[in-house]
Amino acid sequence: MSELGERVDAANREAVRRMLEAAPTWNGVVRARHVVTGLGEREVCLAGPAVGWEAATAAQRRAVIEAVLFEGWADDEEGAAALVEEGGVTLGSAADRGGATPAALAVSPSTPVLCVEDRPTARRVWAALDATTSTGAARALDTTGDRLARRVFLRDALGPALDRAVDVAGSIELLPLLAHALHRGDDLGARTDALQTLVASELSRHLVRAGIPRGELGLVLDDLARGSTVAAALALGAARSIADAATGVPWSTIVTAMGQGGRSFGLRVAGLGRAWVTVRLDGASLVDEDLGDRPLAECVGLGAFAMPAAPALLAAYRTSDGAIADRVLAMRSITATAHPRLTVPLLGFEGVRVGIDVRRVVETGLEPLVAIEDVVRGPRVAPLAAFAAALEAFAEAAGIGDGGGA
Amino acid sequence: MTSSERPRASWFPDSTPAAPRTLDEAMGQRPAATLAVIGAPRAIAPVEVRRALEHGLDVLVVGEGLAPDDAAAEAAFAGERGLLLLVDDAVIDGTPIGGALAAVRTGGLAVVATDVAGAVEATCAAERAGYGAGQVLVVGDPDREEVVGGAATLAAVARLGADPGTTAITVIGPGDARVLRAIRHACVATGKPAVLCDPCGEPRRGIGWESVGSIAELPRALVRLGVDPGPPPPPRSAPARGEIVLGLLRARSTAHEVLGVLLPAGIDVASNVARAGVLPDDVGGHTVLALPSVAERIAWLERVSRTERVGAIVVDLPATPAADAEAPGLLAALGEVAGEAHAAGRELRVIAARSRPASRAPTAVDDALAQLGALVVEGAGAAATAALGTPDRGPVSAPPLGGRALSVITLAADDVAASLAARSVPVLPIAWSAPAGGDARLARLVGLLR
Repeated sequence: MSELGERVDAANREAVRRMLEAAPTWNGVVRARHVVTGLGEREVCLAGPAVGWEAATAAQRRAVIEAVLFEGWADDEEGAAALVEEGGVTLGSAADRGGATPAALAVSPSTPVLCVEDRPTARRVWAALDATTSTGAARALDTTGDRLARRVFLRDALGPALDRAVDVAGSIELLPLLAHALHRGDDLGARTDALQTLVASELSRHLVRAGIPRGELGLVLDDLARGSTVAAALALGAARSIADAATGVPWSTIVTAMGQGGRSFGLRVAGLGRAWVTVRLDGASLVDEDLGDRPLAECVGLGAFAMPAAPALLAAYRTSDGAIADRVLAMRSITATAHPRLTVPLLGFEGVRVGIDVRRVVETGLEPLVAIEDVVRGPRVAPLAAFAAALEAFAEAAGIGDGGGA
Repeated sequence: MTSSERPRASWFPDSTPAAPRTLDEAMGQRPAATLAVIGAPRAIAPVEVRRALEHGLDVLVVGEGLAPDDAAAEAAFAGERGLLLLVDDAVIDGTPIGGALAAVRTGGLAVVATDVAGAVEATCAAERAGYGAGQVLVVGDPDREEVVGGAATLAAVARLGADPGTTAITVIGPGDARVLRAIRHACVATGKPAVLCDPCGEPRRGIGWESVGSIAELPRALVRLGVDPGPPPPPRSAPARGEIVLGLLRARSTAHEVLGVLLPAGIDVASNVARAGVLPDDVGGHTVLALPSVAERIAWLERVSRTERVGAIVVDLPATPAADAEAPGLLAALGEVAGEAHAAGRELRVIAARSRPASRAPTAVDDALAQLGALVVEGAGAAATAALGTPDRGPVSAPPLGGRALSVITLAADDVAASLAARSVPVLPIAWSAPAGGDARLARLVGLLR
């Protein structure tokens, strides 16, 4: 092995060690302006690497317009679009602001976000609550009015209630909940139903003790029972917290973020800090435009890497591609190690695979799958071109390749 | 209950690990591996060769091989570590790897040649004098150049010197005078009789060694040096009714593979391949013919297959457009012959060596083979094994070179893997795909960062 190779291996071991030692804890729910670092007064954050209005997808533009209306910066959709086009609203990246969004959601200053803190390091991240009222293919049926109403409910009712409940609890450790959910049929990427049940169960007693008014309590409990909005955000927040633990480890080639911004797919690599490496997607390889920061789950061994934990999901995928199970097992070869606490019963309680190594993806050509709810379309693929670009960026930063060397 | 004892769902078998995708993974599954056979494209092969050498594996490069500069660099790297860097074909511990040396009779002679042709010629000449070769190592022409300094040859000679199964060493091929002198000194240092064949050099003799000007003089040199040919090969039994294997193959390499299975089993075979070069007059026993022309194959088929002693016909039908285009005529002739045998109450098996990627849809040839009731196997070696109808007895035993039994990892060399598996040689194929879709620059970056 070359000296450089040993240095990278050692860095990766350190990066993965930090990820495995992360202990994400849910501390509360606040409005984005109070926790999102540097968020401007007229700024909204989207998923993935930063994207401008021109490059934003139709779903992202719709989300931005909804955020503008939600904040009251414009009176109607035409006015909102005009405001953004004139530069009256800044578009940022949630990841660059220390957070994550579950879908094509624009996080504005009044948007409620879950606060997650890594207990060993006190490092804080946030994750936004999804404002859709439907899931999967039905998501497109949501109207702007539906989504605005939901955002108001999240801001004025669900968010504050959850915050009071978590305050009563002190804080809620997420790893035990994630571990339980994996044992109950979730992959914690496309499927968080079991986690939602566990969270609702955990929160209900704290909600009661928090003294939430009866009528409001009923609405909150109904909402928790109906969908997995909170669970999806918690899973995303936990993934952000775990992945961020490795950010900035020098010489490490471990992936700390993946996401789609506009028509580009982006990666972050630990050794490159918070810089995004992006590749342009063409029509054939365009990942689901509603992916958001969802691929964060795969960065920490959840989602597609934990698909064997979700037999129902895998069974649905198997009707379209029987080789997915083999692919999921093969993907272990592009990761660093197994998580000791997040295990999968169907794999003999083997730990989920943590730490996608850019070198191994490029070497094997094995593109990681990204699990999505839409089982008809099947799991998506993080494009190899993004990993190749990341490797080249890493090599350039390290001063190797094209005549250089260790 | 440990994680390895807990039950797993049938979707995720726990007894068979996923096929390795890289050399690192392969070594994790097969830490006792001794040899890597690497057939990666030339632009990418150096990265994989270096990785294999770093793992302490001997390396045999097949396919496109290495560029001269890369070959020199990797040979030097291998030589520093006492590892073998070989090319094209080899015989290791009596096991032929690759088709050209499949018919070599095993014995105590070791041959180190710069090219396959020289190796074949040397083993043929030696066998005519009763000498078998248990180790045949091809190091490539660049090895004898001054810049390389014979690194691969010197490493091979050192290994052969320590090999208890090697009783004499033969070094074939021209080279730089100083390099050849160093090789001669290394051979003498082993204490074993050595013959060096250098067409550009003068005949010379020393204590325990000789230098000759042509391979034809090799047998006499071995005799003069007192090298014992070893025991004669066991007598071969005549085939009985329905036991004759008739091989009608379009490629010499596949004919060699078939011979490589039949000969070690002690079966007498007539063939036009390699040393004989002459078509047999009649089918008195097993016959393996390499006939590029499909018309010739059909003619031989019609001539001999009606003999009641022919029990199996082996053909090679690679899934390529050219082979598929000429297959219908041969398949029609096979169909006629098989039909006649069936009507006469004779058993006649048709075995086709055909490798078709799973991603490729079946063609008319595949349909015709199915209609014929042919047994379709991957690899000519497997076809020959199936034709014998008896369990493969495996390679002729020989003391392992370097003290470790041969255990092979293959990368982009599926044909070699299939033929080794047919001989019951431990082999682990890597499910390899070129890094970043074959981008040589990225492959080198990965190599630098591993």
